[in-house]
Amino acid sequence: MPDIRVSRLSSGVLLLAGDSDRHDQAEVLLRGDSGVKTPLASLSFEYEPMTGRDRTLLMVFLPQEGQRRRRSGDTLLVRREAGDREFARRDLEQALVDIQTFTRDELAPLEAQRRADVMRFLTKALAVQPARGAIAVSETLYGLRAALRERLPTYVHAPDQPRGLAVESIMAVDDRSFYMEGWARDEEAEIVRLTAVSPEGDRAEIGANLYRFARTDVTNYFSGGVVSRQDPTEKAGFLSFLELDSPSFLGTGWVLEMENAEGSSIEVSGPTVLRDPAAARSRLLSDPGRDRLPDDDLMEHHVMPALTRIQRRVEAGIKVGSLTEFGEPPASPAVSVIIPLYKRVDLIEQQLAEFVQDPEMFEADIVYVLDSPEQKDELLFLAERLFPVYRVPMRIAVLERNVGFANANNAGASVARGRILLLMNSDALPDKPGWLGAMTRFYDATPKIGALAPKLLYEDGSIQNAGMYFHRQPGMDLWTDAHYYRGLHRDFPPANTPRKVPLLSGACVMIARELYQQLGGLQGVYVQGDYEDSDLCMRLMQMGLDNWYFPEAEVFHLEALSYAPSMRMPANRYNAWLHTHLWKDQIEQLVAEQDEAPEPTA
Amino acid sequence: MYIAHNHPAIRPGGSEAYAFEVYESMRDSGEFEPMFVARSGPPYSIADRHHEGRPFTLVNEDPNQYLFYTDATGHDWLYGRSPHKSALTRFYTEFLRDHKPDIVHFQHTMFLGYDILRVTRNALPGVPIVYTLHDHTLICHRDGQMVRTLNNELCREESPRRCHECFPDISPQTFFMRKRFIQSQLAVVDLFVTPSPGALERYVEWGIPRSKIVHEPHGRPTSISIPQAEEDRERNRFGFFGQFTAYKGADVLLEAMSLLGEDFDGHLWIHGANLDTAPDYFQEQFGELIEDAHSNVRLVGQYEARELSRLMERIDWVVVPSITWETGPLTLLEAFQHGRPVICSDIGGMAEKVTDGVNGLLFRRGNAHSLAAAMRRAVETPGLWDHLHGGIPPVQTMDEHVAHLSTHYRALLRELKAGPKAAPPGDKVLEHA
Repeated sequence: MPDIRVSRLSSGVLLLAGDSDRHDQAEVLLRGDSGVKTPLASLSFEYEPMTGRDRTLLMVFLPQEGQRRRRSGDTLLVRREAGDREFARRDLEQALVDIQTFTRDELAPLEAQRRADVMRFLTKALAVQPARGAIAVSETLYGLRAALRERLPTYVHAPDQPRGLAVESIMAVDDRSFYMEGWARDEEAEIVRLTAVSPEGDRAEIGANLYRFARTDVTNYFSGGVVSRQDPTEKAGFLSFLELDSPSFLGTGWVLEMENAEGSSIEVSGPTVLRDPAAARSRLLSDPGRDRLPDDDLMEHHVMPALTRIQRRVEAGIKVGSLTEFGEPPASPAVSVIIPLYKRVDLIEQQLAEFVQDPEMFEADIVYVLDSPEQKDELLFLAERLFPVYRVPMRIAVLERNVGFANANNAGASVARGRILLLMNSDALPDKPGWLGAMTRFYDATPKIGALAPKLLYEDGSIQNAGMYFHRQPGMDLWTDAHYYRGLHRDFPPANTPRKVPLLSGACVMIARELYQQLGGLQGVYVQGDYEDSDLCMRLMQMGLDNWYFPEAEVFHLEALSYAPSMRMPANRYNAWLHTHLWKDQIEQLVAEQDEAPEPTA
Repeated sequence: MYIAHNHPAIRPGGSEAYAFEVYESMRDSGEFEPMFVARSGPPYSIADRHHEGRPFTLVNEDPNQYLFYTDATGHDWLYGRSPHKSALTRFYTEFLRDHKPDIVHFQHTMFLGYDILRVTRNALPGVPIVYTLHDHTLICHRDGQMVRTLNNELCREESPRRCHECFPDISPQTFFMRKRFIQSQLAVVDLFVTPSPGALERYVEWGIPRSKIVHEPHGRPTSISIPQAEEDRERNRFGFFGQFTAYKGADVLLEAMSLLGEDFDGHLWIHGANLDTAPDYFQEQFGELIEDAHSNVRLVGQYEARELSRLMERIDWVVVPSITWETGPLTLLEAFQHGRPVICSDIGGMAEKVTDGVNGLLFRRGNAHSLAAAMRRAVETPGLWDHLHGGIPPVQTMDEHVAHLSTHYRALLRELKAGPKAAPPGDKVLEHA
């Protein structure tokens, strides 16, 4: 075996394989003509071939084109405790072989486990490699996987099979975590290993981290529909939130391997990866055939980590793409009114028809935030036509992409000019002029105030929201929001005193801007608009502040016109679960305190 | 400046004819110099591209009459607004500023959109705005009739829930938003005028401040010749004048005639038009009734306004069987002008003008039996016609009506001198960041 073998995964990733005596870290530098030494990133992997000495595989990341021009006189310097080696560029280029030859000669002769290990090692190139070259490296790795991976018998689907498995969906949560759904069963022995193999060759053991559930269709299929042959406790379905060490970019080529206690193994190919975050979120929240109530284990270990990452991925891209100003902005506004718009941009005409009658709205900093940016032209065109009619000064911020209710509010807050924020839904219509000033005066005059909300009304004039409290169905673990006096006449006396309440609705809520920013705004972990308001109120209470209900200001809230209700139910369930999961202890303490105290008073 | 949704020269219609008559009377006898601006354009008149950039055109040689062309395709009938705001905020605003009217009086905002009121206020901050409420369009989405879709029941009370019951495809929230939108635009109106005290009450209940709304009965032009001498003849001839829509109740009348039987000693002439624009079910039903009608019913068809006197002379009783409230109705006033007692439904504007046994007869709205009984009573009671004919009150002339309107205009202008209105805030051009 030659001393050194050289190849590369891409123009920026060099591979060097050579004998090694010691297992110590290598330091790799690039020395130029002038003598200047530039340190390079590198990774190493030790292995024992079938015959001969131990080897080290060194993966060296060369500088990008443009970062530093490579000169012909460059020398690669590999420093180890055992001694330094120098490789002149010319020599390396002469010794360079293509990756397939390198793999065949150097890596393929290794035994199965080491081959699997070296494959995983190679995928690390994707973690270090900047995104630009990543797809090329991924495709190379996919080819290598074919050469290196020990293939298992492929599962062939038939009802008489004693064992079987299928991957029904794979969703990308971000570039290194995925959510896999399918089924797996073995009649003869217990399943001891389930390994997901990415197209690039990375491996994730998911056997220990599976959520299992019954799949009657699978059970029926294999029992030929004969009930007596079925095991009623069989939970063939599985889903798993899995994380890889390195990113995976390719859409096809996933494999799932299964091994049972007796050593029988099979494998199956997975479908194309679903990458759209909205579709992924939708699927995560739906439950085909699963329990109606959110299962703690399922939620905590699978759905929540996946959703949280998806939401973060979405958050990372929050940027106000454009900000258009209409009219003369008020000189020093006290209040910024932040109004997210999603799909129903026509509601702006409705609100302007209310605002125009209220001189206080001309003194406020009104910011509409468009969370469906594909409607940018439609909205701006509409605003240009409406402004000359209503002349209410306002700004329209268009987000770069859809980021959800919480983040849309946060984006609006980031461009706000007032010292106080009033977060308002696009389907909220104030009843009479003067409401904003009254709320502002009350907010400024009340010590220890966190958030303030007006009385919200349905379109028939009855109470939609007069503050909320926590409610739990007896025997259940989940806390939900319950509404005081909902449906009652707006003049109902107990609903007409300002008072402290635990929770307020985010459809119209006032909070000092500094406070809001200190808390980081609304939390994006909730899906699509629910419980962010409760979450905010909990955090305010945690700071020792109070949330107040202010009935003198009355605002109509035409529920569910602002964000489409199509995803409500499953999103609601998840949000409720998450909220309880995050706040359980505090809620229980709060409720205990409330039970002791008399009816809340002003 | 009078602003109407249509010029009667383009397409005939009741409220536009009235509006134009007001203009003519004011021009000829009144103390104000009026202008008449009528909307034109699709769907009433053809789409005409040469109006772009010049939507105001003359009607004829009269320098005070203009047509205001807008393309009303895309007009939102539910909210009463048009997406084409620039016609209002640019051309219409310029037109107002060029002419500087002392008063702007709207007869209807159909096709123009309610927000024309706000644009008017923006353009002329100090000028009083007057609005005539010819029907219940502002309140009711069913053609302003306040008749429920469920079973043609009369509606006395509007609410988001009740409107939704009539139009299940439209949510209560939408009706709520419609009302708020309309009322926002109406906030700039200084005076509302309506010809029916009943309608006035309904509008006050709906939310118009009582101090801002007055009742002014319509007048009729005096140029119509009223027959003086009445020959002595049997008073058994009935006439219906109006459109063949479900609201006008011609079908009730036909049913009543059918109930009265072949040998009823009465004759009915039906003058009307627009059956083809009625909904299909009504066309079918009406067609059947006409076919089955006895020989004492004659369908005359369309008539022109100047033929009216001649037609009225030939009949004795005018039947106004509308199933909706009616604020006028003009047919009734025309009947009175010609000395014809009226047999009409016992609701709304009709019952306000007709007292049973004094100047006409009332019957139960929508009830063919009740109408049949009234018609039999009309024919078979000797001396009744003469008695009722004698009880017909004089109809206010258009000149008198215009004089009343002028009184209101003067009052508004006096208030204006007392204290100018605050200019609306914010008059800046938009800026892009």
